[in-house]
Amino acid sequence: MVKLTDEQVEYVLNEIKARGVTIEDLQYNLLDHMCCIIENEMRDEDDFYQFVNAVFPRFFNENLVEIEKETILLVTFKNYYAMKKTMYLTSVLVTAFMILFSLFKIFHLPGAGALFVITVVLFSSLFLPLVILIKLKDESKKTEKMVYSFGFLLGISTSIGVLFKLMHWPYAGILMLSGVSIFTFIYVPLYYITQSRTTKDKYQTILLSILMFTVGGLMFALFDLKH
Amino acid sequence: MYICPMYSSELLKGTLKTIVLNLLKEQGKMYGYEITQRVKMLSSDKIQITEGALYPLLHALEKQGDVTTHEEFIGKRVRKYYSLTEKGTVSANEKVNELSDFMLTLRFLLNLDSTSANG
Repeated sequence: MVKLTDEQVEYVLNEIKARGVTIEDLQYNLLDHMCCIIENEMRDEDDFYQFVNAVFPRFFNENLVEIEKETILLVTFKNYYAMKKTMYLTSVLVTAFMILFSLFKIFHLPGAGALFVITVVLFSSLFLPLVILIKLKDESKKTEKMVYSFGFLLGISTSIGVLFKLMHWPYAGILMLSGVSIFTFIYVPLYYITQSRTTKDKYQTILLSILMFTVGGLMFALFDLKH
Repeated sequence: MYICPMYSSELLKGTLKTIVLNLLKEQGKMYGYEITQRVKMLSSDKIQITEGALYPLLHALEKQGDVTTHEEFIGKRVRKYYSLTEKGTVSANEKVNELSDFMLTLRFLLNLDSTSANG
């Protein structure tokens, strides 16, 4: 069995670092593993450097950093599923509270205001932020991540604006007007431009853009800009 | 990248966690290289766990609280030993029971008992 010198161990560690592994814990795991392989499999007549370079490809398909990526993915995977579960649960709660609120409002029952506050708080402070986080994880392209996040952030500001308006709280007008204006005149054109470049289904992009623009435009028309 | 060489990786992908947890349950504490060699030996070289699959899994198990670690310094190297926590022991038992039940179901589903009896 070969005994490695400190310089040789240092060389292997530097090779691991040079190949893109940045998590210190993983670097030392791989270092020990690599040293064990060398000590057990290298013959006295073998060249150390050639042997090391021949052993490295055993650890990966394309490059060593795959192990780090897989580690990060596995470590964060559990949170990802917890986030998705919470998002589904919140969507069910939001729908249930919204139906209850509508019934209370129609029949003029007490507690409608409280139900509406709960619905909007759940929607804008839990559901939409979770959707943004999941979209950031799911989408691979930076533009897609930015466009979706921007859209959902506008959704948060507009829904809070609606809550302020219905509860007769101050600054409701500014919140709603800014949300609706940015959505209609900035987000929709931005969505159309980015999606029509990347999506194969151009018809759906055009249709969605027109729909969003019309809804945004109608809401914008409701504002009395003179007051 | 996962487990090789005799069985397809699709077939064995879901069993790696069970194999590692059960080994740690039986052996007490082990380090990465030792785990790969033990699996290789016990399976007569039919299953070889790759490093690319083992270390991400060990890190995930540590993060989830299924395993605990302690380090030993060997010159400039640090050897990390993994052992099961109480939660990990429960997980190991659950995983082994689940897999064993799955194997029984597969035997029934693929009609392997009658095949082996006839053969």
